[in-house]
Amino acid sequence: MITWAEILEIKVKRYIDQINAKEEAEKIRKRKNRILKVIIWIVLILFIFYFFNNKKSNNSPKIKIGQELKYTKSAGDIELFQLGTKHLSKYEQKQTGYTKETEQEFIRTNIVSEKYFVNNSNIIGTIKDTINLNGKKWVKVALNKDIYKKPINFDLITDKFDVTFKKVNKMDEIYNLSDEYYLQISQVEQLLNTNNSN
Amino acid sequence: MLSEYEKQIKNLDFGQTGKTIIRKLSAILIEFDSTINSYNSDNYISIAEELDLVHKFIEILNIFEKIETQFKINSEDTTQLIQIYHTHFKTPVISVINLLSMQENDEIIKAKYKLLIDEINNLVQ
Repeated sequence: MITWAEILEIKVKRYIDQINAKEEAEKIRKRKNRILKVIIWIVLILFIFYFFNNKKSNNSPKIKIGQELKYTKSAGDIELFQLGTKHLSKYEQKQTGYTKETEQEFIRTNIVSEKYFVNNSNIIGTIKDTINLNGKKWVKVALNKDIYKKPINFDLITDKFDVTFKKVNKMDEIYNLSDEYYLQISQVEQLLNTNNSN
Repeated sequence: MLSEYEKQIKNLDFGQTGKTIIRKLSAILIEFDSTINSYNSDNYISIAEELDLVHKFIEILNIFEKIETQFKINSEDTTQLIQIYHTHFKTPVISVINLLSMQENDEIIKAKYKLLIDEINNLVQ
């Protein structure tokens, strides 16, 4: 019965094809499930990350453009930074692959402390902007003009000043200094926290 | 362990009398018919069941051929044998093939089943 054998051959082949298709579909289903699980995990991780980040930022005071930044004694010294490039020494140039200057970076150029605010307003300045550099956040501040009038060597008893705050335009081995002053975000947050609690 | 069907085939001795051979063949055909009914009980014959039926079909067909040869050697009348073939073997086999054809959607296979029925019908006239 050649015909019956032929029929069975076709049917068996079809049956095997069906099994293979089923197995393939099962593989695809499993792969899809795996991808879905990975996506769920990513979404979950992102959600957790967002949640904690949001919580963290909720704890941090909100920085508003135009907001006044006031000095408080507990803040200690306020470090002022300006953007600039540093000229590298021969050794440093060798270390960095013979680059003469660094990329723009924040350079601490001034410090204002309690003595700047005696018999003066306690306003350090106004927040102008926030920027990110090398993964760190910085706050651009327009300094209160009164700060320039107050001295560094201020005598609390005699109320005499001899050296006033000087804007730094050039430093040794430092070039292209920006006019704007920047504060570290952590210091601004600390100031805002104490500003809000007072 | 041998199945009832296999035992019955094993018991078949072509040296026995025609009457005895016919009796034993009837037992085999009853077993074959019982198998068909069992496979057909759910109105669906699977590939595994079809393979088993084909195997049994060829085996019984060979038995018929051997008996016919033996009968001819012994100059015995084959009328009853042919009658048994038509009634108790060919008819159930064709009904099974019809059923297989009905449960099939593929037109090519359906055509082949029709051809198979024609083959079986022309096998013994």
